Amino acid sequence: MPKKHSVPITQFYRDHDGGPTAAEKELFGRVSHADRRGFLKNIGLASIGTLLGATIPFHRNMPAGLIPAALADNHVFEGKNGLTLLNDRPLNAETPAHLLDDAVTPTERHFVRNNGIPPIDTDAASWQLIIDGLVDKPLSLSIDDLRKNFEVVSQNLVIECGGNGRAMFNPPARGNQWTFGAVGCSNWTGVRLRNVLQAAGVKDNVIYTAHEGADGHLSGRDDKMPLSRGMPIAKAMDDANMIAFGQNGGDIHPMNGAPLRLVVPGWPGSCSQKWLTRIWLRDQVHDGAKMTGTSYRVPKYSVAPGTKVPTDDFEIIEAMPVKSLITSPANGVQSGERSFEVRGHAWAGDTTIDAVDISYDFGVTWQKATLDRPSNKGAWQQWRTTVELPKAGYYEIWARATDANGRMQPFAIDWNPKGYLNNSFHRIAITVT
Amino acid sequence: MRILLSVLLFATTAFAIPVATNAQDAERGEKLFRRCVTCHTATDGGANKVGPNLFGILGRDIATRDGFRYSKALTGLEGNWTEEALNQYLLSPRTYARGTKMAFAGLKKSKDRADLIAWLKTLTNSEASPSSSAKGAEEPDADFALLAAGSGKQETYDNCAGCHSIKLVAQQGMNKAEWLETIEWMVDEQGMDPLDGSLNELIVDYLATHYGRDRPNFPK
Repeated sequence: MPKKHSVPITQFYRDHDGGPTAAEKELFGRVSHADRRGFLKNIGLASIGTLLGATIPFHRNMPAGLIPAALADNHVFEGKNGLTLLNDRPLNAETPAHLLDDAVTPTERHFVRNNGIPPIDTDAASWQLIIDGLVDKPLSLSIDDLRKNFEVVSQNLVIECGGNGRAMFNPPARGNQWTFGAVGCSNWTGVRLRNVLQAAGVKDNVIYTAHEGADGHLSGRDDKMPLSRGMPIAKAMDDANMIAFGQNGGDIHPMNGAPLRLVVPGWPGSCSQKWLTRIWLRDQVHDGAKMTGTSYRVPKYSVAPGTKVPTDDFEIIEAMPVKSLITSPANGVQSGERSFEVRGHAWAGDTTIDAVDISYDFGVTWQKATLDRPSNKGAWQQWRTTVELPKAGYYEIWARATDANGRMQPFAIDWNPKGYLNNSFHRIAITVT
Repeated sequence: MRILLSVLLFATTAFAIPVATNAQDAERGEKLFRRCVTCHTATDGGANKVGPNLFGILGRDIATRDGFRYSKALTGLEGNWTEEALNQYLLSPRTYARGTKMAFAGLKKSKDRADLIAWLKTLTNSEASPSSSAKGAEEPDADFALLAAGSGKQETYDNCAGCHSIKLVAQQGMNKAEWLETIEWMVDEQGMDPLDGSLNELIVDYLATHYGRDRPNFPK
């Protein structure tokens, strides 16, 4: 049996005294064939196969010491499970909808959106957060200072990438091609942003916050930040916003911003600065990295798909739109039963959800789902309903949420050049046999 | 006041004397090396990627890794990679070797450079290695393999993979004008060095052909 190793597979292969071939033998029981090609003993074949979830038809051709490509990327996923990798540098990974079934998103299922190179030094004990700019009294706070001086709270909060759903844009929009899973609702522990800003003393002329993190720019240049966003001071003073140092009762995942991050529910995830080192208050709209140009912005008016829009005609995205996700059943399943539960989550920027309706006949008829209240402000809401399909065949199940302001998810995408805010229906396919 | 100041200065100097390389520095250096792995392998017998394999780099003659096409900037340098030479190169590659292909801007913190070099130093065979080919096969680079075959593939890989994964390129679908604009955006806002005209043309043509709006090679 292979031993249990806690080191990343690439490191294990690299560091093994006998080189990659010996590493492979120890891990999988695989030994090289005399003709210098790979040869899998039964046990080796089985253990590599188990990890890959499939047999390797051409295993005899596989060079000795070669890490299967499906496993080679695993080090970027330590502590994550089942995510789809969109990009490994910078790291961007989303969660398939059916793995977001929990009311509170487990740490290992929370999506990752990085703009730059994660910091190397993330020691919680020596971490410092600076609050300055237009404040009465600039603060420099350790995580311990935050714990000791402010009320510590835990809240379930939705973070969704502004570009979630970009993959469905036509013509395609530039950027990571997120499908449905750049969203999560973990339980975050920390202090309220408002309490910390009030302790520093917000001057009367403040209109915007500016956030900075410890991640580095992709080009390696120290004079450039990968991301520095902010929000109007009124939004910043909202009770739900947190400076978080815990996720789901444990540490924040390193790729989710450990040891300290902002959590600003309902607004584009980029407002929730990871590896948070500084918040400064300004008397102008913040002009940091990815605040300007067309980043996290949409045209001020509707445009036909493919339209070239002048940069001056873009405005900053604020609250995210009403949206719902079907987390069970999974897309594309076959069912022997005609009757089953359909369930998922719904959320709507700064407001709540009033109704979720389900259709299984391409939108001709709709049935109302049972809807839970949010567990706290900023959390998504669970909904469920039992559908009874008339006979065997192919069906699509559509979900449509309506928010407390009467705004409903659209069927079609409101196309914009950078591929933001796609809140069209989530549709899943199911075949009844 | 003056006395206090000189005492403080003395104290600072006393504490600023660099300590000898220890395991902890090398460990941190290994973490720092994650910034380099898009372009460099560091395993014994590892493949050359955008940059050369770095196993045994300390003490190696400059620009002598087998099978790598170095720029004239590197082949023109004399001597071998001493700690001091690497320290200078890593501070600002383009200052130390004007015209180097290495897109990396450099490590400005001396501790970062020292730690990285401490780790690079550990990449040696203590006993004589039988031959590098017996120890490990050269792995093809998965990112390179991802790109569709065609004229401009190598140049596209060389100029993109230094800063971001090729996965990001391969999931896009843009026409020529949009690809041109994307490169302009990377130059204007993302710290990319401009490409010269014919190279830019070759890469944009390659991208618009294989990663156009109709997404002939969309990886899903």
